[in-house]
Amino acid sequence: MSLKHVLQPFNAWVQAFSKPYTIPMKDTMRPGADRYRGWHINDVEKCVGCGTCADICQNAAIDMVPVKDPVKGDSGLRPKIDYGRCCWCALCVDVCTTGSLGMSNEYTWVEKDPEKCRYTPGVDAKPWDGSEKGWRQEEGFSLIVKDRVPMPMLDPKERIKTWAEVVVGYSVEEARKEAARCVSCGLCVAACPAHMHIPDYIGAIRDGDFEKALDFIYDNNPMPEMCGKVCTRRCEGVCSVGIQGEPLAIRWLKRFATEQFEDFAKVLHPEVKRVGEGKKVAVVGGGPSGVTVAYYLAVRGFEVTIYEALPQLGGATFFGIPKYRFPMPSLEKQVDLLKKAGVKIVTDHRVEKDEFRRLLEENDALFFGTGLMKPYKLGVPGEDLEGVIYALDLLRDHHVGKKVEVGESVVVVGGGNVAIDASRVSRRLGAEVTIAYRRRREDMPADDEEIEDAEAEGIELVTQSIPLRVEKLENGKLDFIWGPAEMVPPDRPGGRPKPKLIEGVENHLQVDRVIVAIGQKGEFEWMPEEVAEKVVTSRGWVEVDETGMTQWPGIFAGGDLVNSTADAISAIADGLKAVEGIQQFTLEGLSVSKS
Amino acid sequence: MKEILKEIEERFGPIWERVQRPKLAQVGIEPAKAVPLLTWLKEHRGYVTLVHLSAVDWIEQGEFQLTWLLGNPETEERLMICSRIDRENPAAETVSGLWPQAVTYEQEINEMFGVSFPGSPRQGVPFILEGWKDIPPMRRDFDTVAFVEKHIPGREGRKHIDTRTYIGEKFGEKGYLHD
Amino acid sequence: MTETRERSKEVQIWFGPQHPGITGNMSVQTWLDGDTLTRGITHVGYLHRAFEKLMERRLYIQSFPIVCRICVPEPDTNEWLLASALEELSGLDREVPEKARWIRTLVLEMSRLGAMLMVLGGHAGSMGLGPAPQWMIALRDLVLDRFEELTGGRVYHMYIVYGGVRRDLPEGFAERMEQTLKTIESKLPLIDDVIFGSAVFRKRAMGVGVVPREWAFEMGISGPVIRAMGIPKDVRKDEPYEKYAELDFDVVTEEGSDIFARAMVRRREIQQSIDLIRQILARMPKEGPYCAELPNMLEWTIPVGQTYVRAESSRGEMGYYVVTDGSKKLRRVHVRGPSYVHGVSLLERLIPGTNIADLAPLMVSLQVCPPEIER
Ligand SMILES: Cc1cc2nc3c(=O)[nH]c(=O)nc-3n(C[C@H](O)[C@H](O)[C@H](O)COP(=O)(O)OP(=O)(O)OC[C@H]3O[C@@H](n4cnc5c(N)ncnc54)[C@H](O)[C@@H]3O)c2cc1C
Ligand code: SF4
Ligand code: SF4
Repeated sequence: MSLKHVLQPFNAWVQAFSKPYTIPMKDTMRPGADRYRGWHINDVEKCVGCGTCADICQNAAIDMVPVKDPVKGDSGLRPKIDYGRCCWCALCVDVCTTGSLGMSNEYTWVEKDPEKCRYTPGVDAKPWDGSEKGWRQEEGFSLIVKDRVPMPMLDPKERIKTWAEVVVGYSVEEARKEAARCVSCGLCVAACPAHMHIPDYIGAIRDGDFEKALDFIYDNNPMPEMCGKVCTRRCEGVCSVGIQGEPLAIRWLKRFATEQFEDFAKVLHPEVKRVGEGKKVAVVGGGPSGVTVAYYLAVRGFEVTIYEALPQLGGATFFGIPKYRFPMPSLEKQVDLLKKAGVKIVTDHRVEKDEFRRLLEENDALFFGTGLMKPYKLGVPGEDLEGVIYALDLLRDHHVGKKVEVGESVVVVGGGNVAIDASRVSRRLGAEVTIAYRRRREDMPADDEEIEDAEAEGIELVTQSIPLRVEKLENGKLDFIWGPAEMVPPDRPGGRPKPKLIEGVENHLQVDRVIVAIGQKGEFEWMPEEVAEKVVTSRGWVEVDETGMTQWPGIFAGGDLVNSTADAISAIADGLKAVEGIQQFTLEGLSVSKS
Repeated sequence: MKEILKEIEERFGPIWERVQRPKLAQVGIEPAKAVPLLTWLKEHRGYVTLVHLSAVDWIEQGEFQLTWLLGNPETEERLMICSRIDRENPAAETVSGLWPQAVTYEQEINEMFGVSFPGSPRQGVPFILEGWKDIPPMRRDFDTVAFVEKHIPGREGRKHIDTRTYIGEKFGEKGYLHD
Repeated sequence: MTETRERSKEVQIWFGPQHPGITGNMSVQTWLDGDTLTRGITHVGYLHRAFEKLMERRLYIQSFPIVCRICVPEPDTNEWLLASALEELSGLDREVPEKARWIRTLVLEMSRLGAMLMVLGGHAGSMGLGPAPQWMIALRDLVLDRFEELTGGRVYHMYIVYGGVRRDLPEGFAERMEQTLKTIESKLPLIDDVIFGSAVFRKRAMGVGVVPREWAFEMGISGPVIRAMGIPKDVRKDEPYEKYAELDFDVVTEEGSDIFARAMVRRREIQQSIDLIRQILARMPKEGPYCAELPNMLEWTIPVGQTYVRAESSRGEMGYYVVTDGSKKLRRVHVRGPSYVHGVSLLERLIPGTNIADLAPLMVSLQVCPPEIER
């Protein structure tokens, strides 16, 4: 051992004179790094209370707690974090569907009482609220899948030559992959008028258990294959995954599940008490609301007869919605289940006043869901000319098998789904089609995807156009004359901007047909006056209570003529309400015939 | 690694095999032949290192899997020898005579899974757990949640609401096919 | 008669579980004759957190924040091993982007560097050489500063995740890293003076705690312990992972197989890590994704399979044996740390004949880490 090794360690003393690299606490509080994982912050306005953060937390540090009433699209719950358990992994931040949750770069907090080390970020005020720094979600890293599995569709050029279904449908692999994107928050359940068990059937699809999926689906929707193809999908509008990405393809997944089976009766095994044995119910109108009432009452043992004026059940989903969206075999499959459940179906049979009176005598309860069958008029000169027709008539005639002709060119007036359907049907009948709509594109009530599909099929959209009159031309064609509109602020706050005609400009469009699709209303000529007086309002609506019952005890109603949303799933929801109402009404020993 | 797998098959009869990576292969063999195979690999084929010994509980099939991982320091190749034994009264031959460190592995598996290695020096001697009364805790049927709730109760006053259920209740989600 | 007399002279001492010389929470039950140890048994269990069991009860993504906690000084190796095993079994490994692979290599080297700085301090500390450990911890803290800005955490990084890493390098990271490396390098000569140049250290480390070469392969000895025997074993070369095959470095070896040789291997590997970090930063792609597109982590399932993955941690070969069963959770994960052998079988074999004062330096030189023994 040399002397060198005895002396060398004394070099340590140089350190005594060098600048220390420790930071004196008294001068400055050293801030955490820019992406430090410190105390949580939450933008509670952006947060929708989906609870995904709580699901991913492996420490069970997060409780979802109520901070306000639940509404569609927001559960009203917010994450409350227990810092006795949190390990600052920030998985909650990275998984957050809305990106509302973050972490500040603050890391010190002294509290005598450990119980205080729990708080609801964004609700319980903290010094680090609004912190600019700390861990946030970043582009390029996601724990959930934001992109939807694309739905295969027929090529637009090919599909206008046929009536074949445009949407091809998911393969098993695609469906399971899409289903696996779900975070099971259930926000969709609130938004669905029928409150279908959405996360549950999606979960069953993901797990490959399609029978289970169908069982969940049929639990509160007797026309799911129809909804799987054409539903307005309010659910998808609130899907938490859709906030930063594309919403789950809930509609397509439902469609997938129902398409896996040829005969639903073989798969479904209702287990309900047959409380309705010996009770009779008549249903007038075979639309979705009527079908719902008939099916669920029938499985409960009620003797149900459904009367429908047209040759097939389905209502507007049969006579209105085109077959390239909702083919006949799909409808027949669902009607078939109704028959197997024991519903008596009387088609091609329009109920008139006297019969209605008789039905009142013979049944314990009665439901009508006769829809909106009467189109609104355009109200311009020339409307009565030959060649000016109504979309509803065109579609119905076409679907009941009557021969319809639209010529070489048509203009469709309107911006809703009916207008789009009439346009696309006309296109398939061989016409050049223009849609004339009063407002802007973003104001169109029609489904966005439908509008895109129509445009892809070569349909032209003329927005902010106000029809002025229709004239007959020498060559036999019609001259559709319209003026441009500018958008003016709404009359009342919160309303929609209104179109206002710019005077003095006239545009001409030569067409063979003018197809009017600006809405429809209820038709009550078949209804006995004494009933109509009681149940139909002055504005042509039918009002019901929370059990679906009209002012006439024992008469229930639902569907388009009752609700304001006028879509199939709302009609089904009305039907469900009436099922319970009717069950309650009859079980209390009451009966419409005796009232 | 194909050659060694082929040779094993020829010498030790039917095996299950798979090349996982260029330098890692797996062999499944009946329990009675496992230790002879390990011995042969160590003594004649350069697999002199016991990298680890592990157990897996396949409770659904009523079996425990034992996995000996051997390494050949010459080639850096690794062989995973797997063998399934009955889950009832599970026992396996010890390799502590071949590798001194096997004593610890066998002691731990004995403690954590309840598999015994007769003849191995520290069987029944606690390794990680002291005074453990429950079933061997690495068995799949040991309920960790119940254990924690009993011994380390959580903080009071916490209440988590499951969003999915809550929405169903608040918005009146109902089913009509089942009561 | 003689035998009983001998026996009665024997004293039993529990070394640990709380003792400054013990490398973490464990204890060695020892028997002494005079101040010479005659026998020792390693006892663990003071830190058992049942990580392996916990992971069987959690989603894959929920296991990710758990594994780092197996090793305080060097968590990243654990993160990488779990990620790499699950990527291999799920097929996600084909999608890990190039940049992620470089960042991972960077993180693994940073983590080795931080751990080695700490343990080299420990070498000195276990012999009562005060200043060195404090400086080393301070230097390690500079590495932690870089970790903090990169991963959002100083100690537990939770950064290497399935498919890549969680965040890109922050702006100006390479420059700040270079600054840190320079600071560390500037202090190393001083460290050499107080450790390797110290008569105390040399006297107590040379020829002490010699591991016989014959034990090397049979027992599965690895890391600085095997390299100090002159055997060039290093997983980064033996089965290169991530970007190691593309980096320029030689396996560090020393002769003597004693405490001094092991400390010297670590000292030289500190420099090696510094060089590697420089190479990595110079070659790191500037653009490109840092993580693959992940499936929904709440529903991720992995097909049936099993594998063993390994990496060179500062302590030696760290391995994960992982079994999946097609579900959303692990069937089994077995963490194989080098300490399992070094801290139990090897230590127990080395103890007889060792002076009690040398037990702590010996354990540090084997870099025994109890959490990886009991997981
Ligand atoms: C062209 C078109 C496209 C549509 N597209 C969609 C869409 O994509 N998605 C969506 O969700 N909704 C769509 N809808 C709306 C949807 O079809 C309706 O909201 C739904 O069908 C309303 O159901 P309902 O129960 O009120 O009865 P309706 O479907 O309106 O059916 C009423 C039924 O009662 C029958 N009826 C009436 N009077 C009598 C009587 N006296 N005796 C016997 N039977 C009678 C009618 O023949 C009719 O079949 C569309 C509607 C139309 C017209
Ligand atoms: S940071 Fe991790 S442990 Fe903490 S609340 Fe979020 S998910 Fe749970
Ligand atoms: S994941 Fe995000 S949006 Fe959902 S509840 Fe948590 S903080 Fe709110």
